[in-house]
Amino acid sequence: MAMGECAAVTVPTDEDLLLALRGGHAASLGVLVARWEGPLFRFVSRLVDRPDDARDVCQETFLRILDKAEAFRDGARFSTWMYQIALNLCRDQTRKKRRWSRLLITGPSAGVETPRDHAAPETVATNPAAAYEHTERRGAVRRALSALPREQREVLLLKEYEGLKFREIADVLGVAESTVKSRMYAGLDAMRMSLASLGIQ
Amino acid sequence: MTCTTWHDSLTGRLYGEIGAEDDAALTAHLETCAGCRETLDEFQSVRALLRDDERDTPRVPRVVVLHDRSRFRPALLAASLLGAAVLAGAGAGAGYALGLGHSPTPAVIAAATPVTPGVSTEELVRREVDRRLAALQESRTIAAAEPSGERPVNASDLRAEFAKFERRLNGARATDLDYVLDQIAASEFRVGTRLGKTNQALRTVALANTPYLDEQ
Repeated sequence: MAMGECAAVTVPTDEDLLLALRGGHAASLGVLVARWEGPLFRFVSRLVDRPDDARDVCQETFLRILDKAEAFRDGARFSTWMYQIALNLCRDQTRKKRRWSRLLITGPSAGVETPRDHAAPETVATNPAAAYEHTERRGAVRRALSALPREQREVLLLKEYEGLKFREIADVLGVAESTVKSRMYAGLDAMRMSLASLGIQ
Repeated sequence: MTCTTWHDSLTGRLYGEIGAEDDAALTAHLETCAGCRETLDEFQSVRALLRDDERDTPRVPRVVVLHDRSRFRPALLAASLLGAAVLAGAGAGAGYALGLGHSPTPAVIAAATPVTPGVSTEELVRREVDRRLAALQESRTIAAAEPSGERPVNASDLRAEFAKFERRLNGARATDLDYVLDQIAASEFRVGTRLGKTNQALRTVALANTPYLDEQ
């Protein structure tokens, strides 16, 4: 082994990695997963209500990416394609579990349970009243999000948490950019009213 | 009450996706429209609340899977592990060969031994023993022609060395296996379920820590 040998470090793009995966380089999937599992899990978690389901959807998303690597359109963006797959899986999941998810979103900290839900955030740790208010507010935001119509919630999550451009959201959802913008407006409006009715602003 | 014609511009302004011309028009409109000003302020508050929640996003269970299909056979993983073990073992073998001081050549042969997927370690060791015995026979012929003061190496010495070599090899292989099993166990612990149960299509777990990438 030539220990001293050192190649210049280049960072392959997501699309490069997908092409490599297509060519049979399985390790590329590992890199794609490492890059995207965080954002994807966050996104999916907010759509499917249960962490277990989110995990399944994420795994399934990466498996589909592996299975359908050949179907990836040249010139397309990997992330757009990945969100599309995940979104479809979330929709299937939600359809299957509709009754249950309705029940689940009525809890005080509906949506995704995080380890930190059980511990006061550092900033308000010394003040129980503030900690309580913070938890309440977060719960209210999640309930308001969960209560949004699916189309509005998807747009809002992709924009607010995933930072996609309106154009990219339109690609993910397969709708016109103007549709995305009007869903965005309607979603924000519904959130505003729902939070105002709870006295949170 | 908000003027519906300004909806797109308001969301565009909120997310910084608005052209200069539209932006200037919106600014002019906001000067005269209290309703739209209020809406913009309230939307900004909603965004702040949403961002506050973002700080508490869930931790990701780090599980990476390799799919079980022809070009990603688990055999390939096994073969690469075996390759690592053989190379590690060859390193150890080289140490012995050099230590004996008889002939460094066999060590070079060992390091250059091609790794064939599907061939057992025992089989590789057996081939190596045969190869080295053949090399020994040759050197004996030379030694007979030019006698030296050293004690000649016989086959049983060499076999004893290879027994040690094989133990090292197995040790390295066991260490690699332990590592993979640890990774599987750790992944299962993080996921909270047995990987086999989560999805039948998943067969092999490859690890979770890609050294050159930061955790999200």
